Amino acid sequence: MIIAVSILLVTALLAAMIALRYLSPAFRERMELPKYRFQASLGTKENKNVER
Amino acid sequence: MSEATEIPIEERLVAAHGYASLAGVFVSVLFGLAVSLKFNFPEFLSQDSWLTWGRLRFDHTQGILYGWLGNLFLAFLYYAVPYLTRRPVTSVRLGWIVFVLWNFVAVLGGWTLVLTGVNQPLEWAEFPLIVAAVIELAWVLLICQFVVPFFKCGASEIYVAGWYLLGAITFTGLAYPVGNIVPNLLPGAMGAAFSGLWIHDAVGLFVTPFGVAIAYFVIPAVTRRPIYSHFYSMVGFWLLFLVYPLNGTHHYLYSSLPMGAQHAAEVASIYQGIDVILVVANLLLSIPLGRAARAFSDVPLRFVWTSIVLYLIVSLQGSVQAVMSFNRYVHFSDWVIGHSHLAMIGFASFAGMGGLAHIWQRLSGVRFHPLLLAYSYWLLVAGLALMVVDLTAAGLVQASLWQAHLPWLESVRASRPYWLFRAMDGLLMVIGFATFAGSLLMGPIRHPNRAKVLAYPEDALPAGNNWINTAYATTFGAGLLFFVVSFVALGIIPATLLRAEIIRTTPAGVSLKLTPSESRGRAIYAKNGCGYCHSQQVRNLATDIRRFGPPSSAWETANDIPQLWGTRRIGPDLAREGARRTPDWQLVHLYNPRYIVPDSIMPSYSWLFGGDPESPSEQASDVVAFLLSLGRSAEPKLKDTPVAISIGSVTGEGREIFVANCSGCHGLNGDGESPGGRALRPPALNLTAFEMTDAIVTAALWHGVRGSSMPAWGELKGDELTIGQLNAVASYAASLESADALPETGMLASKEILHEAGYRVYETHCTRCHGETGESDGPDAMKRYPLPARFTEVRPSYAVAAKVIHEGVRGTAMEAWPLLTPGEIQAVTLYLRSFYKGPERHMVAPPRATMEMHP
Repeated sequence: MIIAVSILLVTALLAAMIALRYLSPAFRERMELPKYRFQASLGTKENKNVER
Repeated sequence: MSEATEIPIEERLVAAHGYASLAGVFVSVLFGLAVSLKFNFPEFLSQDSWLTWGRLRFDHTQGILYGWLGNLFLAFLYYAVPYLTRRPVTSVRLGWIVFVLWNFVAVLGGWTLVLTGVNQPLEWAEFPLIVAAVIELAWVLLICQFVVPFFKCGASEIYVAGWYLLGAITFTGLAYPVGNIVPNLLPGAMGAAFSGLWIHDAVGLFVTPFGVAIAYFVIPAVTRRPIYSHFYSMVGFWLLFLVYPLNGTHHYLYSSLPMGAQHAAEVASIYQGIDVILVVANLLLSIPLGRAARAFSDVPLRFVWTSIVLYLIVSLQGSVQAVMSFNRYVHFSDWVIGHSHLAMIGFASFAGMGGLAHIWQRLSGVRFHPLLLAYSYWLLVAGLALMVVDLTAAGLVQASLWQAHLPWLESVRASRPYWLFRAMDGLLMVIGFATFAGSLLMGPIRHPNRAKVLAYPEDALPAGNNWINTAYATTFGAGLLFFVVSFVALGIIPATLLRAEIIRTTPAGVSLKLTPSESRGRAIYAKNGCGYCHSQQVRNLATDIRRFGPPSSAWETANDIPQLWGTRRIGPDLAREGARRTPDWQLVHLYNPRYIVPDSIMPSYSWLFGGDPESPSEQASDVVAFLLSLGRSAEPKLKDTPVAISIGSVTGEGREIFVANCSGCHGLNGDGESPGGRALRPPALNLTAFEMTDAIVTAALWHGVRGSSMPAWGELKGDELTIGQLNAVASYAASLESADALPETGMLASKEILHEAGYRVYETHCTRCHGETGESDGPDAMKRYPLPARFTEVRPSYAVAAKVIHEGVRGTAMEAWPLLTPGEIQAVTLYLRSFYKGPERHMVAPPRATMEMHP
């Protein structure tokens, strides 16, 4: 029972997050920010192994 | 935008952990190779206790977990955390303290202690408690080292790789004691409930998040593009940490753990598969198809990409395996070993190698050989593919044979080609890992710019909203709460239910207490890893019950600390072993299993003896005492079914079955001339020195011989032969007998005088046991164990009778009669032979004077 309730709660939480993402463009944009910040941290690293 | 500042990477710590990981994997795969060779050559490295199979197996998996993957992940942490937090790690000095603790105390110390027999028989937790304490201390220090820099970041600023690292360090620190310490406090089923959690958490909360973090780090670094969706990456992260801890009990399905916990783990395991699809889809979409070919020229990324694909495969495989209707077939088989190698090499090691090679290219002062790295990729891909296919196929073969009504040994015989192939493939894997090590140890020394992170001032990028930060922090807290829930739902509640069940169901008057000798034997059994080939849990499944006896109940192991349930069966389950074999059979089998079971692959434990099976040390006697105690409390009742076999014409099949199943004791020619047969008490019967009625041959085969090591082949659970096979082997065994007669020239007196003298000797010395008419019904007969020979059914040759009368029979009540003269011996032999009621057979071979007689 505890496990069933836990899984239902997790599902509800994630469904709410996904709904919020589609309902709020600001939220969607904000959620994607960390990947750009990380890319900025990597920014100056040179990778000679990947052809351009 | 303000000027950016630089944050150094602690390259020396990265390199140190990188080198340590290479040493760790090299030693660990050599342990693994030795283990796989022992499957094929059981005597290989079997003369010393510290090189026995179980201890090498312990060191193999612990070395992979801590020496190899642990160091890989630590190297990655020292490189990645500054990028992810834009701050340095807490302390360089702390880093070196952890390095020494991890490698010189935990890994080296753990390996050494395990080999010397100081270990614990808990899967993925084999290092002894003292080492477990050091590793837990290291986890706490790792939290200080790597989690603290994240505190200074807003939660909503943390990139997903950072979240995975945070989750891995925090949750593993919490889960570690669950599997390493709690099972030493709780017995049997209750301990197993917690062991199951750790078996899965070691993979799900330690290995998996590090592997996924590396993928989320390396892909954007190489492709120079942000990942596909940070939102979905976070959904995947939360799902992983919320659901993974709920999986653990699926390692003990159909056991005596509460069925609710088993079903819950089954559902959570399927749910986990859905999460992995999401994570892998997001990662694969982060490598645009148009760039994939170019990106794959970067070998580290190729390693990482392969790990992601294999992560999907192994996770879905895991979800399917956890479904009870499928698990019942493949559990305990090599299928699971293939699965675990796919997870630990295909996913975790490939991700780690990709991450390390990615880092290595950017470190200064280290050597790097790109071509060797590319070679190592293909060697390891080929080696892994062959190994997983081989073990999966072996698992399916074993599963099908276990379902069939065939002796256990058939699955061992059928697995041999697969095990040989696996050992050869293991060599390929060793070469692959050595090539990988070569790629990081050879080649020119690199001098790129010293690795560093550009720390952008806080005003350079948008700040996170407070409410989002709060939401993140709350969700992470919820993750921790769910971890506690898993602990409660799959550990504490089942343990509480089990405690009540044990009190309710333990039969009155049953004592589970072991004698001091049995307790010592259990400790020896445990520390040598016997439980890693022999489970001690008969599942509540028809095939298990038919083969091994009644299903194991929770109360049966209520005193077992730590539990020895096991998750693998190379040999048969031993939960009911006590009633199956005699002490001397167990001793000879322990000394050298092939003395008695020619096709056995069990290692010899001759180091527990003083040179031969008849000289057991106290330790060997203790182990046998423990084996004889197994299932004692459950008191399994042997069937007493009517003999359903008969003797017919001799066939080639009969000899084949005899060689495979009987020759270990009776010798290849049936003359009892085998080291195992001679060491038994009483010794194995020389089948060529007796005439026997059909009834006694078939009864001995069907029911066994009480008081001897002759098993009941018709009733032996798990090893019973089919009726057709029993008919064939009975016919062959009966054909081995030699009719004997006393030639006139050899008679010491006339036949009448001998008969009269023989009667007097027999009446004086033999009737109290063998009875007046040789029916084994004398007044003392029932006091003897085994029963005295019944001469109406068994007729010895003159030679063997003389030997038995003169020397007695060890392990029986038949004493030596050295004062009887040759004339008296000849007379009494002639007399007792006259009782025989079986058919007179033609002499098929000259009589031989060889072995002692079996009474």
